[in-house]
This record gives sequence, structure tokens and C-alpha cells, in this order.
Amino acid sequence: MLHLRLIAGIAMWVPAGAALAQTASEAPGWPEQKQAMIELGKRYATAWELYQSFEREAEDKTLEPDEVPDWSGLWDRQGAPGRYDTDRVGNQITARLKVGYLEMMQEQVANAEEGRIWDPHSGCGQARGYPGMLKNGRPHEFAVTPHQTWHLGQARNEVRRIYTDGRGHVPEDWAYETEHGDTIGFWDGDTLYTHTMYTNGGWVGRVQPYLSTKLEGTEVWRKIDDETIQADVWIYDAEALEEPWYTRQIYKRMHQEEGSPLRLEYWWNCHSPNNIVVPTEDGGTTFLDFDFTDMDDPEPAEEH
Amino acid sequence: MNLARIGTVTVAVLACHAGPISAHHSGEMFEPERTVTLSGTVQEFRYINPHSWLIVDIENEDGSTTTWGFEAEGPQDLMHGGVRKSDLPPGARITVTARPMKDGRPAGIWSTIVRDDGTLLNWRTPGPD
Repeated sequence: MLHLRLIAGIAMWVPAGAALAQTASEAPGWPEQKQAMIELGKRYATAWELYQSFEREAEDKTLEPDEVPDWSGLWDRQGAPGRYDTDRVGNQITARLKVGYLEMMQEQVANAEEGRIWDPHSGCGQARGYPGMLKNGRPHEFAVTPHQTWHLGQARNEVRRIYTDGRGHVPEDWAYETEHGDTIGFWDGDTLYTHTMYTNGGWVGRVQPYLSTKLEGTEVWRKIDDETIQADVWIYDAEALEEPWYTRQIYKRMHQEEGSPLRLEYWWNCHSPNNIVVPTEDGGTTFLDFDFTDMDDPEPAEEH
Repeated sequence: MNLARIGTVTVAVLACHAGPISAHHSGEMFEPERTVTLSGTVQEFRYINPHSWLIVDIENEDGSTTTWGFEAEGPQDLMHGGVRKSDLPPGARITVTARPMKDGRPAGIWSTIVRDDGTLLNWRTPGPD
């Protein structure tokens, strides 16, 4: 059996030209790399088993203050936010979905192809949660400390905490499902390994799959050069997926204008000023009454 | 005012530079390819999340004015395209190219703006960085 560390090493291997690639699919040798990562995921029945395999191989799981990697800055996820897997072609998703979930996906695709897309997270700026936040546009930020790493995403005000202080997951009796679930992890050198569970399943995003509360994820994060952070992500879901869904997410450093105006800000909610979108009767999206014109105001009811 | 009064716009069926909007909501309420090119005066530039809105008084051929709203992504994307809040002050004379709403309401998603001094603003084209 191929030594796990060698397999895991694929995640850290940076081929010539990879740093210039904007998405994983643009990197040299990517199809072969991706297939190896898919096969790695398929060796394990659960994300937890994959995570534990990485953990067994780790040489030193603690991170001293002087070892904290510099992930400062703001980071732009590469590829369209509408594509969790940047290898996706059109509406052909790369996840192998089980029957009920495949039907839900096919319904979304059929509606999208008819020009009907309603995003239920639009209305009030709700979080995508995990794993959808990984593919969000707008700035991402990583606050790394020895005991916790916070992954912040401006779009949808996402906040995800990764505990690396040696704790386990929330005990089952105390656990409950949330958008981002419960994430623990450990560092091996400059590489962060994580495991996530107890999400509320939900939806990856617009014209993308629904997943179940059985969703688990294992990720391998590393800053591969000064301009690039990448994550290899395996999503397991015994209810929704036929096999683990592997993707590589790439984040590039966002450059500042003079005066450093770029910050990660509070995004928005439906009580903030903006023009509100609503679903149409046939399942599409439109704006509610615009606030800059009275031309589209509803007709007043006739008095009787 | 009747919606028919805004029918005096110059319609340009050009290959659209703008892909689907993706930050906050689906962009399927806008025409997928058809664009309009309109001239007017900036009333307000709302440089906000999740979408910026440029409110412009558009002059119709019959001498009347229609207030239009033009959506774009939020400030980070505008910054990336080099578009500052001060680029579009109230009173600025501009020509906007946008994909209009399918339902005919006076709004669209703008792709380019040309100010009367000839400056081209395109929030989808990253500035030098």
C-alpha cells in the first residue's frame, strides 16, 4: 500500500507553473493529480477516517507562536462563485449524487436552463455555510493562531472556527447542526488539516447540489507561495453522495489600491439599504419595488 | 408616468461583456445579451454592499426624464476595476451601457460608463494590480 504520507504529499506538491494558475484546472498535470486525490478519498469510508490517516502521519501537531504561518492579507477565491468545483463544465456537476439528491440537482439545472434561478439565500444575505462558503467570491481572511484559525468570508458574513488546540468534536449529546458545523484540526508544519461535521447540510449554492446533515469534510490547507493559499477538500455524505466529492479551492492575494482601502467588511442583511430580490411565481428572481423610482409602485387598491 | 415613455433609448445589440452577476442574487432578471446605451446625469452613486447602485436621470427623446438604477457588484469589485466613489459624483454627465431588466422597468446592470470627459469606467476590467 502506498504510504499515506506519500499520497498526502500530492496535496503539497506544487508543480512548476501552479503558482500562476488561477484555478486548479489551469495547473499543469492537474487531471492526474485530481484523479489521485479522488482515489485517496475513495480509500476511506468516512472523512473522519481520512482525517485520522493524516493525523497518524503527522510528526508534530502543535503550533508554537513563533511557528504560526503568515496568512495575513485578503484572499480572493479563484473561479466563478457559481462553481464549487472549478472543473465543472456548464451545469454538469462533478459530484456523484444519489438518486433523490440527483433529482433535486436536475430540477435546478432544468429551471436554470429555462432562465429560472431563485437563490433562497439571497433574500436576507444568509450564510452559505459549509462547504458553500469555500467557493464564495469577495474577500476571504484567515486569522491563524496556535489554538484556533478563523476563516472569515465577507460574502454572507461567513465565520468559521477551526479549533487546533487538541480538542475533539463536540460530544454527540451536546452537538447540534449549524451552517458551518463543528471543525477541529491540527497543524503539521505549515499545513493545516481539518475535519468538519454537524452541519445542517443544506445547499452548496445556486445551481449546485443539496447535501444532507450526514455531510463531513476533510481539508488540507497550505500557503503554497506568497500569493496563493490552497485547500484540498473531500466532502463525504453517506446520504447524498455515491462517493467522496473532491475539489481543490485556490485563493489568491488581493492587491490593495493606494491607501489600503480594501478591508473585509460586514456584508449586508435584508435590513440594510439595497434593492431587495424576491422569487417570482415561476421560480425565478426579480427585484421588489425599486426604491429609486415610483414607476413600478403597485397600483393603489380601488376604494368601494 | 407610463413605462412606454422610456422606449426612446438607443438599443445596441452588442456582444455583452458582462457575465452573470453572482455575489448576492441570480442575474437572470436582466437581459442575457441585449444592451442599452443611455445618456444622463448622475443623481446618486450608492457605493455599498452587496451591490452598488448608480442612480441616473436619463433624458428621453421627448424631453422628459426617467430615473434609472444601474446595479454592479459591491465596492471590492469596483475597486478591483479601479472605479472610485468620486468617479461618479452627483451631476456628472455620463453615457451608460447596460443590460436592462427583462420586465421593462428602468434598471439594468451596467458594463461600461463613459464620462463626458471621455473617461471609460468598466468595473469588470481589473485595474493594474
